[in-house]
Amino acid sequence: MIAAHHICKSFGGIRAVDDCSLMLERGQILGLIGPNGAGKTTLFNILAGFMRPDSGRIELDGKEITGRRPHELFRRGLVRTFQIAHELARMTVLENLMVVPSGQSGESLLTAWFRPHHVARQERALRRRAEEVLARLKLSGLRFELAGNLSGGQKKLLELGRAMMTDAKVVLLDEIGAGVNRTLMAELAGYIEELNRDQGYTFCIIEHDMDLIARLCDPVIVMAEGRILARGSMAEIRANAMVVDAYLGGRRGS
Amino acid sequence: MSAPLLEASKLVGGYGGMDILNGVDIAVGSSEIVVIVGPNGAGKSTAMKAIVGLIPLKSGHVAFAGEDITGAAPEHLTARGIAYVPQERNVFRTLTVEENLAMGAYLRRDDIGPVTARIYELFPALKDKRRQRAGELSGGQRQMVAIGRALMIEPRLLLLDEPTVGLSPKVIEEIFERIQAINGAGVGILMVEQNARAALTIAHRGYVLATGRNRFADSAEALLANRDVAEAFLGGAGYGADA
Repeated sequence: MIAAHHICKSFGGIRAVDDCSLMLERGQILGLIGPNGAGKTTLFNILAGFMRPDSGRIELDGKEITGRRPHELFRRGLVRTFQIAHELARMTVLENLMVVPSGQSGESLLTAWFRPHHVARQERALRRRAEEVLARLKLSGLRFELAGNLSGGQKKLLELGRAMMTDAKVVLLDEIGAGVNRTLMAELAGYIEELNRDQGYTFCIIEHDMDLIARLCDPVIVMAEGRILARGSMAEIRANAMVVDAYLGGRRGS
Repeated sequence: MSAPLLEASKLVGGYGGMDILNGVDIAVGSSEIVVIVGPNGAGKSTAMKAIVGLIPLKSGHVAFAGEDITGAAPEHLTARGIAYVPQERNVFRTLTVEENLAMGAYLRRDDIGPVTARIYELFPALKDKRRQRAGELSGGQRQMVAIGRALMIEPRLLLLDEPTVGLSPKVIEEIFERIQAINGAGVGILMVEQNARAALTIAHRGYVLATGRNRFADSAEALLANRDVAEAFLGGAGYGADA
């Protein structure tokens, strides 16, 4: 679905992403792990069009998308979330979700004037969908709260919710678990599994919560210092001495 | 619990008109590591901010070393020996590591050489990077700078808001080890953590907050063994058991 070939990106003298290639196949949940500063988020930024690679080539469904802008990729069904939540602080939680889908008929002044019922119907459908997403994220009680008033973890949940509002087929999730309560995260893992199994979503997930990665992801790719250090199933990764040394650590992490 | 160093009782307050805290009680002994866990939006970070005077309380009391500090301004609390490391934006990104540490000693008029040396002993990685800008460091090193800066006043109580958020497993392990070392040197620790299971393994006691109230308060061992707590707040009985 996504094929990235020999991606390189430097900042100043630092090679943040150094000759990385990866394949994300339809229906996969790919895990991307590695130490802080390994280049995972930079790679995400490149895949989702937020940064141009210095060299390398990216394909989405066989078509080259290297250097395409995020909104173009969004229209082609690729969406990403941010590690630091990007909520619209002065809008309510519900509004934050409802503004996500593109191509709403109310956005055109012409249809808003001449086909108001159509616009209203579409709004109602959106509202239903947003309410479903809120229920999953346990944020229903906060639907009319300004997003800026949410706690840190709740903002992360809203970030995931905004991705769930799209009909995107490939979703890149950047550390959605950080700062989210583990019990809720385990439930959200179930939600991600469902979206993957029943609705055909493909995921690529950056996450430091190894239980979450072990439960959801196959294959797992490990990055360190800009390069891909290892790839395989989580069991293979856990057995890889280099990975344990660079990333997982001895006791609590293993 | 040893003689309480910090005693916060019946805290009520929040932001604007909304109450996030609806009567929270938290105590920390001088030789203790105490962890606050709970769902998102439970009021964990808010409770910390209320303790350090960053948000006004509608009611409730905070006492430190037997003295009432309710409503005291953050800078007065720093002078008394309470250090606080917020969750976000907790380093000066454009300053070097050494300058960040010096900023932490803003209130001190004595020689900060010895205390700086001790912090480099605690976090050797920082010594190698002392001339580098904090914004260029990895997430784990930045967190070490933030903790190091807080320690520059040689506090009696250190408050940490999710010190391991976004960090890799190996670095989390390192940070928790350092927190134990700091506690071993006689500093009381109060921290909010979503890596709750791992945090409870190094803690003496823990509080579970939900909807701005104390839901459970017990020894860390008892909380870890409590099935209700595990299911509702720690990610289930099996989940993370090997972490």
